[in-house]
Amino acid sequence: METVIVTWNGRIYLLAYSINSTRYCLNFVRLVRWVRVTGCFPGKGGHGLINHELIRDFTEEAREHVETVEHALLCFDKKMDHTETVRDIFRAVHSIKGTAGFFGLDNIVALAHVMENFFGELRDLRIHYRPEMTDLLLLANDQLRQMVENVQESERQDIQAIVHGIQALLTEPELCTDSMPAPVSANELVKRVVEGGHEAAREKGEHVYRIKTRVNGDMTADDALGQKLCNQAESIGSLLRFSVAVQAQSYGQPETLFSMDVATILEKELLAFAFEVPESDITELEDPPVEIHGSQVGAVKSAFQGEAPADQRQEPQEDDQTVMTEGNGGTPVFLTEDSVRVNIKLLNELLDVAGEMVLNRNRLLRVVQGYSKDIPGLDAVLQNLDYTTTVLQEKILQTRMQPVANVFARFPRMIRDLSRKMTKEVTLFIEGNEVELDKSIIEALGDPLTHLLRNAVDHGIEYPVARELAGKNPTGAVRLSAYHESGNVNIDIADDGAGMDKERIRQKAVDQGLLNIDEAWACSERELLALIFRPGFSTADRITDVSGRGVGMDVVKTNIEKLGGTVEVYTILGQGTTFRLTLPLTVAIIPSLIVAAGGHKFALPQANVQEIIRIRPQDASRKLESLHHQKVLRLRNRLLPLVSLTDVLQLPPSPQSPDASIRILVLKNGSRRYGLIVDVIYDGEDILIKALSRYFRACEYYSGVTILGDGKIAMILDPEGIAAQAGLWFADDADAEGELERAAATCFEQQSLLQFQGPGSEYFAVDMTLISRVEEIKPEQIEQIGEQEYLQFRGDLLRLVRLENYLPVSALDITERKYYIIIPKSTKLVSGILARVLSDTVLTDVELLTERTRVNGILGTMVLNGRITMLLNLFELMEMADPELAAAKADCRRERNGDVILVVEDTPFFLKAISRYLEWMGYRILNAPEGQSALRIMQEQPVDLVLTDIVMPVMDGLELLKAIRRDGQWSTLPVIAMTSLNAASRARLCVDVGFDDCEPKDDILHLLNRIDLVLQSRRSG
Amino acid sequence: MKPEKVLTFYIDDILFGIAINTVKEVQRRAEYYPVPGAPAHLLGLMNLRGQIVTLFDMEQILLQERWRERPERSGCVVLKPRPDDPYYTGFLIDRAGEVLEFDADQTEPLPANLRGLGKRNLTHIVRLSETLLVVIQLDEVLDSL
Repeated sequence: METVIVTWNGRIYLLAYSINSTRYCLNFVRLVRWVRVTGCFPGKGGHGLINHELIRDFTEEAREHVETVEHALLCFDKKMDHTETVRDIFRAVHSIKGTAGFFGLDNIVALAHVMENFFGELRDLRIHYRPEMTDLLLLANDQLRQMVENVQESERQDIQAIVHGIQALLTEPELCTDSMPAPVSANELVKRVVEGGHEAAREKGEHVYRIKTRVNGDMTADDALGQKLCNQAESIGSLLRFSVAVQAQSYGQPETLFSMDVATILEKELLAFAFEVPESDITELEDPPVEIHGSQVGAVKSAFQGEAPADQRQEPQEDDQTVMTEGNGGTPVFLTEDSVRVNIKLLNELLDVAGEMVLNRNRLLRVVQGYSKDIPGLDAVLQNLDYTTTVLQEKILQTRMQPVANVFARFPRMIRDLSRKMTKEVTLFIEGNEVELDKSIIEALGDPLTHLLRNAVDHGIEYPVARELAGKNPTGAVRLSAYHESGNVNIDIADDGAGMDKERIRQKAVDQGLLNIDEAWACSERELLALIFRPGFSTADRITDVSGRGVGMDVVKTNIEKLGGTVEVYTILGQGTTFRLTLPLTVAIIPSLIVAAGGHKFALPQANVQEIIRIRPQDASRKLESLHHQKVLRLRNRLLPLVSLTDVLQLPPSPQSPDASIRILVLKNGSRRYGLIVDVIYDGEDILIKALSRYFRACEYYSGVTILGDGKIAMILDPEGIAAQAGLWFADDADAEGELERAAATCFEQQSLLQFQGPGSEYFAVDMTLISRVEEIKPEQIEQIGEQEYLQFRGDLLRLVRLENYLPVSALDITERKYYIIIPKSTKLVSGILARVLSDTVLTDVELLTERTRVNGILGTMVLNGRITMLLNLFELMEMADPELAAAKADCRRERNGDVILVVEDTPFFLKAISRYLEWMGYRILNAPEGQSALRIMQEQPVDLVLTDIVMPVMDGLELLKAIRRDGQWSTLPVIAMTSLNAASRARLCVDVGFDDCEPKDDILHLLNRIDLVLQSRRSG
Repeated sequence: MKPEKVLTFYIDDILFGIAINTVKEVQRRAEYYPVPGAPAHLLGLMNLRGQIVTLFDMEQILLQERWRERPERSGCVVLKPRPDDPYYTGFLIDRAGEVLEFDADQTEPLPANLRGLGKRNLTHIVRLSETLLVVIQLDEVLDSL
C-alpha cells in the first residue's frame, strides 16, 4: 500500500491506495468514511485510533509481501542473477513500510526501512550479496511477519538486534549515504536536506511548513526518534530538510529541538493533527500559489476513477523512495491484479443459495413439465434457466478451489531451516503445485503436512555420513507431490531415508504395552505400521525439539480423516517411507447415490460405492448364505459380509420388492469392504452436504444431511459408522499379505466398452475409461458456426464430431428427437462425438478381429452383442477433428520419436490397443506375449522402456522384472507394470517389487501420461 | 423490571409461552422428515427454504409422563440459532396463540402438584387473568437435549 493525499469536495484526505487498483477504491471509500467520522487521520494519533478494518487489510497485504520476500530470499541460494529478485523484495518491503508508516507502526517501519535500505543498496550494486546474509535477512523477515501478523503487539517487540545486524551488513562495504534517510552521524546538525526541494514543492502547489518538535534531554544521538519523525513526515508529504539542535532550557536541562521542513498539500491544522504538535509550532515558510496545479487536478481526478496515474505521487524527492513501481526507464508500471478479496462466509452463503437455486430449478422444471406445449417459448426459457443455474453453481464451487501451492509454499523454507538445524542435507522436491482442492481442505492441510515433513527430515533422512555409508547420495530427497487419482487428490510425502524398521515397531509396541508378545508376532505388516498412528507411540530413541515426542501422527490421522481423507504408509527399510494422503476434491458437493430403505431416502457418497449388485430370485449361482444369523455373499470367490440398512437403523421390515430382487451396494472404505442391502436404488445426484446439528451426534451412521432435488431431506450415510453400528469387525487386513497374489489370480482382464450407433447403421464402440461423460442433447441445441457444428456445454463451446465426416461410414438421413454426445477425457472439453443410439455398455474380453487395412481413427473391429462393431481410436479421431490439436501433437511426436517401448502383454486386445495408442503418440513399439520372449527381444535390440502385464503365461511380469534387474545393463531401465489391481496393491508392487511405476489397466489415458513422464525425465536427466 | 413478551401456543390444550426474542418465525404447516435411528425426542428435520431445521418433540420433553394419541400437528415454531449453536431448531405446536406481555411479579414456580410438567426447572408459571400460562425456559430445554 501507498499513501497519497487527495482533495475532494474542498477537503483534503489522506488516501491509502494499493497497487491493486480494485481495492484501491474500496479502501478509499472506507477511509473517507472513516476520516469523516473521526475527523482525523488514522494512526498518527496513536493506536487507539487505528481502524481495525484497515489494519486487517494491511495485515493481509503485508502477509503477501512477507511471503514474497521469503520466497525471493530462498531463491537467492539457487540463482545467480538477483536483479529481478532484489527488485521484488525491495518493492515488497517498501510497500510494508509505506502502509505501516500510515498507521504509525514505528517498529514495523524501522525494520522494513532498514531492510529496504539494504536491498536498495543491493539493487544499486553498492554492496554484494553473500550467502551468509540470507539467515539474518530471513530472520528479519520472520520478525516482520510476526509484527504484521500481530500489529497490536508489534510496538513492544525488540528489533534492535536485527536492525543493527542489517545495518552492519550495510556498513561493511563502501556506501553512498546521500540516497536515503539512513542513520547519519549523530553530531551533525542538519541531518538531511534536499537541494532545491522547497522551490520544486512550491511549483507543484504544495505548502512548505517548518515543524518544530521539542524533546527533553539530549536526543541528538537517538536516531530512532529522528527516524520516526522523518518517517512521519514522509508518510504525509516529503521531507525537505531535517535538523537537530540542542538548546539549554530554563530549568537547566538540555532540550532537543527537531526542525523539519515538510512539503505537503495538507492544511496546517491537519498537519498539527498528524504530528501531534500545537499549531503554533508549525510555520508556513512562504505563501504558496493558491490555485492547484494542472497535473495535480488530473491526478486527483483519475484517482477517483480508480486509475493509478503516473504522476500521482507528488513528492519532489526523486530518490529511490519513489522507485517502487518504476522500472529503469522511468515509466511507472502499475500492476493490476484482477482479483478481489471476498469474505469466505459470503462465499459459503453464496454456495448455499446457489444450491437452493438448483433445487428450485428442479422443482420448477417438474411443475411446468406438462405445459411446454401450451406456453410458447417456455421450453427455451427453461433450458436457459437450467443451464445458467448449473453454471452458476459450478462457478461458485470453483471460487472455493485453491491450488495446493498455497499450503506447499511454506515448506521449502521449513525444510531448509530444519535440515540446517539437524545438520542434514535435504532437498525438497515439490510436484503438482497446481492441483486444486477446496479451500477448507487446503487450510486444514498445513499442520498434518508440516508434521509429516518434519518427521521425514528428522526420522526419515539419515545424516550425510550414514547415507554415504549406505551408498546413497549424501543429500537426502523429500518429495512432496499432489496429483489426481480416481476422483480424489493424493498427496505423497516420500523420503528416501532409512525407512521404518518393522521389527523395532514390534519391539516398541511390546515395550510400551500396546501389544503383548503373542499379539505382536501375529501382527501383519500393515497392522504394525498402523501402530504409528496410535497416540503416544514413538519409535524415536531420542526426543528432539523437532519431533519424536509421540504426539502428532495420531493427530495427523484424525485431521485427515476429518476432511474425509485417508492416510496410508508404505516403507522399505533402508530405502525410505512414503505417506500417502488421499483427499476428496471438495467437501461441499459430492456425487452420491440415492437409495431407500424402510421408506426413507438416503444419500450415499459415490466414492464409497464400489459396485452395485442385484440378485434376482432366479439367480441360482448367486445367493445369500446365512452363517450364525449373519448374511454373506460369495462374490468372485470371496465372502462379502452383508449388512441390511433396515436392520442397522431398526426400521420396520420393508415389504419385499415386486421382483423379489435383493439390491446390494458394495461399500469400500480403505481396504474394508462390505455389502449394504437396501430396498431401492435411485439415481445418482450431486448433493450439497450440510452439517448435522449437534443433537444428532449420537447417530454415527450419518455423516451429514442434504436436501434432494425434490426438496425432500435425506440423511447422508457414513459407511464406517454403519459398519460400526452393525458390529462389523475387520481384522485390519490380516490377510493383506496374500491379497496381492489372490487378487492377481482372480482379477478379470476385461475391457469395458460403450457400444453405440453412429450416423448410419454401423455400430461403434469406445473404451469407457477414455470417456469423460455422455450427455443427451436435442437437435436444436446444435449450432452451426462456419463449417463446424458446435454445442454449448457448461459454458464452453464443444465441437461436434460427426463420424461420417472422418470415417468411411454411411450416414442415414433421419433426424432423431434426441442425440447423445460422447465426450472423451482430455484436459479440457473440446469435442464430442455425436451418437444416434446408445446400445449397451459391455464388459468384454472379446478379441479384436485382425484388420487388413488400417483406417485412421479405428483401432479394429470386433463382434459385440452379435453386431460387428468398430472400436474407435479416440485419440486419433479427436486429432482428425481438430487440426490445432494435430499440430500440437506433431511437435510432441517429434520429441518422442525414436523412443522404443516394449509392450509385454498376453491379452491380444490390450496388446493391440495399447500399442496403437502408443504408436499414435509417436513411440516405436515392440511386442511380446510374455516375459521370455520379451527378454529375447531385449537381447536383440535396445529398448527405452518396458511396459508389462503382471499375469502372463510362461514368465509373468514379476519374474520378468527380476530378470531385467539381474542383468547389469538394464538396471536403470524403466519398467512399468499395468494391472487391474487396486491402488494399494499397485503401490505395494512398486515399493515391494521394484517397478518404476504401476498403473491401472483401465485408465489408458493416465497410463500414457505416466509413460510420457517417465521417458521425459529419462531424456532430461 | 421490564415486562416480558412471550409468544404463546397450545400443546395438548396447555397454553405455553416462550420469549418472543428467541423466535425466528412460526410456520403454519410443517412438513418434516423423521430421521431413522435418531434419539426419541428428535422428531426429524424440516427444509426451511434451504435451511435444515432440527425439530424436537417439545411435548415429550415437557410432558414426559403423559403420553397420548398424537394429533396431526401442523404448526411449528422455528427458533433463532443461539450464538454458540449455529443450527436452526424448532418444535411442533397444536396451534399458535397471541403475543402476550406480563410482569415478573405475575410469575411463580410450578405448583407442587404440577412437577411432572416442568422437570428439571424447564418452566415456570404465569397467572393470567383468565388462564394459566406455562413459560418455557428455552435455553434450559435446549441445553438439556
